[in-house]
Amino acid sequence: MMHLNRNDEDVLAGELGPVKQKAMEILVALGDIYGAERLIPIESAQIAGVSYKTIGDAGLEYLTDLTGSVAVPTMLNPMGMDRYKWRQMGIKEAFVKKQLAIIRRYELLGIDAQCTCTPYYVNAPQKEAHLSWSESSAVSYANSVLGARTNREGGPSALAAALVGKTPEYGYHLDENRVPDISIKIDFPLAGADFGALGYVVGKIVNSRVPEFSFVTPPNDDELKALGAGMAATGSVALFYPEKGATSSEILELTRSDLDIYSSSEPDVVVLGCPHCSRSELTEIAGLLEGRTVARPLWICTSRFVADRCSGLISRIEATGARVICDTCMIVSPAFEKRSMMVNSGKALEYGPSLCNSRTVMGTTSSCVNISCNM
Amino acid sequence: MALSMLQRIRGRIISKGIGKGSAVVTHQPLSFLGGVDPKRGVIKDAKHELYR
Repeated sequence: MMHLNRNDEDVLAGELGPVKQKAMEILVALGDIYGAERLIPIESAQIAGVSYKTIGDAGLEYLTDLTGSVAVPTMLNPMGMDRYKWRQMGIKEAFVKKQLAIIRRYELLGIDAQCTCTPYYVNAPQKEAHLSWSESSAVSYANSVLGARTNREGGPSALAAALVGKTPEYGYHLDENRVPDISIKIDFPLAGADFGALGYVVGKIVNSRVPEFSFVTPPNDDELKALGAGMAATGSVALFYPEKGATSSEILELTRSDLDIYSSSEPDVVVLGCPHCSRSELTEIAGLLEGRTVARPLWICTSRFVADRCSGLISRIEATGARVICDTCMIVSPAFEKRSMMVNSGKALEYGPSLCNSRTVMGTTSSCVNISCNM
Repeated sequence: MALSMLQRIRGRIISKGIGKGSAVVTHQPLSFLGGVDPKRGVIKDAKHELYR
């Protein structure tokens, strides 16, 4: 059983009201399940379960019962539509009303409705910082690229941690669980979306283990983001190492044909930005679109935070007929349902069929742009 | 089902309360994000062993 300090005991006894008491009960229950010795303070929280499409009326009802304030800076996952461009996306007014009601409930708790799966672009966690984040690709990036420490939380446990300002000390908060246990060797070059394809393939193989990689060229942060997102979607990898250390004895070598998952079959729509595009990715897309016109719908998802700082890039992109949308993505929005999609993301490839009923294929970023411009 | 086939399984409690229903048993992991239809209470994941 966990040791609780005096403050924790008071919260559990209801001294800060029933909402925080319930939140503490969730944290204590999880801590006991996972053998945590105590609760530790967190630097920030990040909540999944935001889109009306995924949480529905039941989620809205759950949120409506919550009052009070979060104890730490807290951000949200993408919602079901661009806050302003929802009509362009073909979203119905009834959906918009419910979606905005959800956002309002979260904001009343003091949560910052940044609505992105890339919260680290908005506020980068400190190295070694303990967090309670729930978006699987953000968890992977925080742990693996930024050196922070978070478990792969569920929406409710991240919300509970946000309200209390603490999380049970288990899993990836502890050094002993941050050790790689399988080594993946790739001795041919990879670039861009190849890392998302690699993530898609490796996630299924390693499930929830901690892989370390040996690459021909070190991947950049965008590529690491794609790799982590893919593995977190087909597996539940929350931590990986982009460089080989000396630890794991189990070695898996992959060949080019293992990653042969790209398709050139023609989709109804092309959607990029899963996870949300960084400035460098928007720059790449703008470059690929230069002087061209889209002939097939091309949607690009990013955070409003990044978009607000890349207005020049976005103008260039949208001049071609492509559309940049914020606050949302192709997976949690109803906008792309039942339409066949081409994506440049291993994560989107995994979730497209189940969450959108969409026939989904994957290409590289440049083949995605090419297929949007050629009909 | 005969009484002799009843099994007592101890779970790990997250949320308090009492519930009752038929056990749905699987040996495969199941995601409730996209794998289950929350309105109809059925498995949507066509690759899952419980899918009908």
